[in-house]
Amino acid sequence: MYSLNTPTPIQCVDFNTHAFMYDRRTGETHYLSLLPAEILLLLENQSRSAHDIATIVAEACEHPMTEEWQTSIDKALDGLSQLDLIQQQ
Amino acid sequence: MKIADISIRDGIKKAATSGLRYQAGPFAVCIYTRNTSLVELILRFYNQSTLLEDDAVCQFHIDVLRSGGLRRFIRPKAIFSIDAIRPFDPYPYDQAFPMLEWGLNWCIGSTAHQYLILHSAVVERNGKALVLPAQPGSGKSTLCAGLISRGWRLLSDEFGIIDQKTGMMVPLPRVIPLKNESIELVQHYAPEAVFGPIFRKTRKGDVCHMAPPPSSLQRQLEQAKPAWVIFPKYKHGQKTELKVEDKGVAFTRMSNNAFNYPMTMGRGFQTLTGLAKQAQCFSLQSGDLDEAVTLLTQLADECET
Repeated sequence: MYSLNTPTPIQCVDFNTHAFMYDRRTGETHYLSLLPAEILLLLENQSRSAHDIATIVAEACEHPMTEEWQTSIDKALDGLSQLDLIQQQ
Repeated sequence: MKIADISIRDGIKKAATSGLRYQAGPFAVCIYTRNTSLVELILRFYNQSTLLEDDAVCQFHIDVLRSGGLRRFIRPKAIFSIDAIRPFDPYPYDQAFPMLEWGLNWCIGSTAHQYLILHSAVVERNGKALVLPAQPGSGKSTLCAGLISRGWRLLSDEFGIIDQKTGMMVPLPRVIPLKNESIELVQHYAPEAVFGPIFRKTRKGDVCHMAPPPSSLQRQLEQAKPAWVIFPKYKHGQKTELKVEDKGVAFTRMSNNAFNYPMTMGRGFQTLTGLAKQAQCFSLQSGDLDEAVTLLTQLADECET
């Protein structure tokens, strides 16, 4: 299960092709592509598994839920973990 | 009461005793000094600013002192002191005015965190503000001087001060310090403007101050809504060109350019993303002052029609 490390509500602003997110915990501003930004917002209210995240985001983006899609979600989750914005429990 | 309403003699007396207190945009400043030529320049440049009462509460109490010891007879120095702290090495005594201006910049940039402060010029036309964030050497002050000589109102040459509650640009009209080659260029471009003496061989080269227009001083409490953010870059021989800037890139450039973005935290983030979203963002390359001024004036006037 993945959950947010950063306090909620998330301060995230979408600039069409990418987004900026301000982490109130560290004072850092992060430049994110839209997929990881979407994942952060999804985790704002509750922890979720990687599979749940992939399914919900696929529906929201009208994208087929394929193995490649799950891989891209896993990569985004790795990236967010490396930025210390989320943690895996 | 305006500064222009007192005599030079009274101004010198105030500065030497209770302090010369005046309004500088949203700030109240108090200067204590016995340097008469410094006081004369303040009175001349800021004649339309509001003179404050002798007991007015001021954010900044600045002493401009003369160095002591034997050196004061040979090479006298001016010392900048705020709240008994001396943040800079002394300057030559006859460079007290540029030292005061740079010192006041330092005071504002390092303490006024109720605002988000960009390193930027800001001018206004038809009620809309044009924000010019820039690195040193980009030609920001020269362009700002050119614009105000062609009808734009000066909000500030150095600080893009943003009210974080409203997103409005807060004026702080002060002198424009022109440096080296731009002194002659602007004096030629705006012969009707008021200029101070040329301070030779300062730490930033030769410096000459252009006075803020009286109307800008009179309207210094009138904020303006930002409509354009333009990143200027002067390069000799460069064709004048205005290119739309990606808003995300504009946000990144402004966050790197702001004096106090990290200090303003989530609120600063909100303010700056709001500005990038709300304003039209461009990059301006130019090697010709008049072309740049004409292009920006056309942009502003086209928006009006």
